[in-house]
Amino acid sequence: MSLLGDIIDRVLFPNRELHVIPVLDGAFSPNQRLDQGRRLGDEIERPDDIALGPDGALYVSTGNRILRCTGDDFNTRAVFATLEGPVGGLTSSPDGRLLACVSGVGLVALSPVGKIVGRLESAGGERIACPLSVTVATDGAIYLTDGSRSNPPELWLTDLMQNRPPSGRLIGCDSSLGGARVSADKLAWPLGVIVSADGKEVWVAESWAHRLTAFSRAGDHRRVIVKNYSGYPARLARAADGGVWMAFLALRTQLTEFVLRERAFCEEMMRTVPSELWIGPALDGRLNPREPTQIGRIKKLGIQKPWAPPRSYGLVARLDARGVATGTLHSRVDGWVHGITTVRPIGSRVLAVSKGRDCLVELPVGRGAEEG
Amino acid sequence: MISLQRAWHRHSPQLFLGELLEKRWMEPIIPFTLTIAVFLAFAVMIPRYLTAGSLQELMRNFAEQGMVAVAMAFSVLSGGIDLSVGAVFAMSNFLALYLYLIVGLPLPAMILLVVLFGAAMGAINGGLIAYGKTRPFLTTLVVLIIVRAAYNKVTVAFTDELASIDSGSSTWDFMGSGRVVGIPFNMLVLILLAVGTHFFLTRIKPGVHIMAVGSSRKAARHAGVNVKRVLFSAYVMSGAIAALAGILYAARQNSSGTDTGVGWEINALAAVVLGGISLAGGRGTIARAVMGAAIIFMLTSGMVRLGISGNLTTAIIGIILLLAVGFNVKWVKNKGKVLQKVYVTPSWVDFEPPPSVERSSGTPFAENDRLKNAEAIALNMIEGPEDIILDRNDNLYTVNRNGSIIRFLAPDYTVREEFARIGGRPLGLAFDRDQNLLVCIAGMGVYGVKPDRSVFKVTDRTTRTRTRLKDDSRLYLADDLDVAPDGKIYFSEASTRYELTDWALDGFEGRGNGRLICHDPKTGTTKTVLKNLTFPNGICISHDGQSVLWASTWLCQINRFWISGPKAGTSEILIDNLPGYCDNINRASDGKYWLAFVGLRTPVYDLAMRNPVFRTRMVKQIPPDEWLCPGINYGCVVKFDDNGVVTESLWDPGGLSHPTITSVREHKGYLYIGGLENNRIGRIRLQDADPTWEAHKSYWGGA
Repeated sequence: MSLLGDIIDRVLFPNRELHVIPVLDGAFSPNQRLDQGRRLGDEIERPDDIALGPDGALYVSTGNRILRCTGDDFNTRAVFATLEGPVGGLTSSPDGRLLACVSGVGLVALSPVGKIVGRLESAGGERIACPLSVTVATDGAIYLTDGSRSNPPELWLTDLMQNRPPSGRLIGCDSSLGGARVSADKLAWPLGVIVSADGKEVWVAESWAHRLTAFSRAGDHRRVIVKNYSGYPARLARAADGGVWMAFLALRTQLTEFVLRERAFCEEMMRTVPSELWIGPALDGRLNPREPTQIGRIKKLGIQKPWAPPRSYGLVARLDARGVATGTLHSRVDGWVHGITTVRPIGSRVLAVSKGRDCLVELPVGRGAEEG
Repeated sequence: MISLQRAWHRHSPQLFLGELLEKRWMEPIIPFTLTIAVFLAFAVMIPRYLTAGSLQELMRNFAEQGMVAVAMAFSVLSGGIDLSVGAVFAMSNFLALYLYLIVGLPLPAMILLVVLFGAAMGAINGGLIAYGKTRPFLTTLVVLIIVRAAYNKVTVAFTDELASIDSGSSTWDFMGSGRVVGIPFNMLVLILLAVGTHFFLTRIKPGVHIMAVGSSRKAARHAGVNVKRVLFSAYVMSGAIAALAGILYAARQNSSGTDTGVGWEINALAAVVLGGISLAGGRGTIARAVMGAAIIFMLTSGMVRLGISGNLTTAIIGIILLLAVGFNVKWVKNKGKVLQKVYVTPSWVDFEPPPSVERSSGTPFAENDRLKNAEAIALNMIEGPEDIILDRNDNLYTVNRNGSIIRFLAPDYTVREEFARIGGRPLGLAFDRDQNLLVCIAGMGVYGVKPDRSVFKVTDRTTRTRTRLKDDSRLYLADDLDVAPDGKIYFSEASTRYELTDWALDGFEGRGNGRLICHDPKTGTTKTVLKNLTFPNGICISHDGQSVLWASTWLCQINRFWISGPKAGTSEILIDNLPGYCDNINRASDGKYWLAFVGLRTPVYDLAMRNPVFRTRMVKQIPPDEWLCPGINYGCVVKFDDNGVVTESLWDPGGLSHPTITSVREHKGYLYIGGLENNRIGRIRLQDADPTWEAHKSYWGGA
């Protein structure tokens, strides 16, 4: 039946776009450059995002807390604030406050001593229960994304596997967290958000739609920049030279896409199996003995093949001002820098947050960063 | 409803269909069906078509055409074409009449001469084509024209003599109109000829060589076939068969007209093509040529009897041929694809949640670090030691994926030598009483290596399952073996449907494709003891020698089959619902058994095993590297006793050194660990084990 359906589909809609997984090619050609990065300091438990404060300290969100990290490798760490829910996206605003996305709460503004000085809990009459990322335009306007109306940020995998109609939002507000309005709706887990170099557009990376879209700040215009990535895009960050850094949570696999189509199996899997053992992308690349295995993952002669179907992966892309990828850094299946949620320039360095491996990694400089 | 679905998937008719399509004799199914259909259609349309007289008349008229088609088939199967068959047939017809009735030669001499004439014409064709390297089409066309022209000349020249001949002897009459048990004589010759040539082409060396040359001239030459001689012989045979047809035609008709044999080469060619014999050569059978000829003959003669005008008949035949040939070409081309689509037939397997393997769970399966510091023997000196075994002098034997048995010499196991090279993929190992090393070899069977390194075959076939289409008498995937106290060798054949490289597909099926087989060296007989077992893997004779323990990998079970004692011949499940996929079982020094888990159960795969449709679609939709498979990247070792109680487990957390454990063998206080895909053999010291215990003593006493 499915074959017949496919045939009818091809006959009636010959030009329908196929959303197949693109091959890692061109700028996305695999390399091992991310594994050559340097780990900064000790382990941090499941870090999610980083932001450079006006005081030169690095703020890291982990669990319900925000850490303030100083020193050469940001290894002097202190709890800056503890909040009511898991903390996700961070950014510091020009007026010295730190903006943090708190699961189940919304957007929170923190003073330089860690006190809550402002909150944005709803927009368009609905609560912002799944805040993912926040960014500030040069004119002070704040943009944040609400990932989904069904799940909080911690349940990102559930949200992917449920495969519901996209329900994420792009929300804009002014610098005092007032005047919130919904700039875009029906986004599929908009994990990445930045304001473009010219300040006219907001770029949003939707993880589950594998696409990068630009929304004009003035009007309603929307423009798809890249429609189909091989992975699940994560956060975006502006590079110093007008380019953009893009992180990827993991790579898509044929098996995951297949299970997403097999609704009955997928629903039963989600009902009966613990989520860390589902078929699907993972941030953590460490082997769980009971996780699903794919044929290509089987070790041969004691070697884990780097080209095996990836359950977790490390991928960071460098985009130019038009959004075209110019280079990438990979940590392949046998690598150690997996599950990257954020990559941001911090001073003269570029730091990646490996949520899967609980650490901050400084990207290799020179060729690695420039040419990818 | 669920139980209905379960039953459907467990006894799927698709299984039968898959094995049916795999049969070679399914290739001519289209011409075969068409023959029957045409026959039945005329039987309905023409009154008295099925009477004995009518059928005899049909057969009588058909026989020579069938033989000419056989002659054509020879040349086509050899990769060429013989257009001269019609002309040779006509000329032979004339020569038979002339030599026998006008010149008056004795019948046997005439037959010999005429057949020699046909062979000579074939020799001209074959000589030019094989040795002169001319094109078969043009060469035989030229011979056709020449022989045809000569025939027309001589028939005209001998018109008067031919017109006044009267029939010869009674033997001659019998050849023309006689019957043997109701079958016309010429039809009988055709049947004998078809059966004979069929055997010649499939069973006899020169015939098989014709097929080989037709399939691939280059490959045949590389295999040492004398291509020129084979080609030459194919045309000689073609000519001789056409001449034989001419003699029979002469005996039946006693006349030689100008239109005799005109266009028969075209009919023969059409028959061959309709029968599905590839014009590229090498593919097809004689039966197909005869079927094709029968279809054409029945259509022509049937339509004449229906009173349809000649031109219309030709047109109708043309259309039918076009459709049949088009369909047949598609069928022959795509049969393999259809087979691929229907062959994998997953079953429905229900699993209970297994005992926990969590470190803190407190079960005997709880993860620990006991294999973490295993000493690596033969690191990077071995590829895929599926099984290991030690002899009485402590030398270590193992299998290598290139088909050889490797020995590492005691005491430090750094010296590697190839003990024997057998081929295939050696798997399970065992020593018999005389210290012969027996080994199961995937794709070959069971072999043995004597202490002096000479290799001998133990067995490579067993009893065939009568109720099954697929011929399962050859051993596909012999996996592990053990020797009972009476010397009988019990071994498992993991699957009769898949080769070792396709183990994952057998896993997706989760079906009883395997067997437990027993070979008795005393009588040299091999017979299947248990069948329809789901991937029987490890085999071990119990400490008391009364039963065979066998592991079912996909069902995660240990089973016991009694070979002596009060329960002899019965089977029982010893341990069910293990948390891992069982591989080899071997004796431990404390009266228990070591069991290797090649992988761990994963909840998602268990779920997939309940969902056959999901697995079918997965196999079809995504590439093999992406298939979900049992968690065989991570194994462990467990120990169980004769009551089926698991007492302990040994783990290598993370599967760093021993990801896929297929065998563990205890020897003198050490435990040796092998893995199907590993590059090393592991060894750990067992603290509480008897440091003098060795398997050979346990099996055969102190001797």
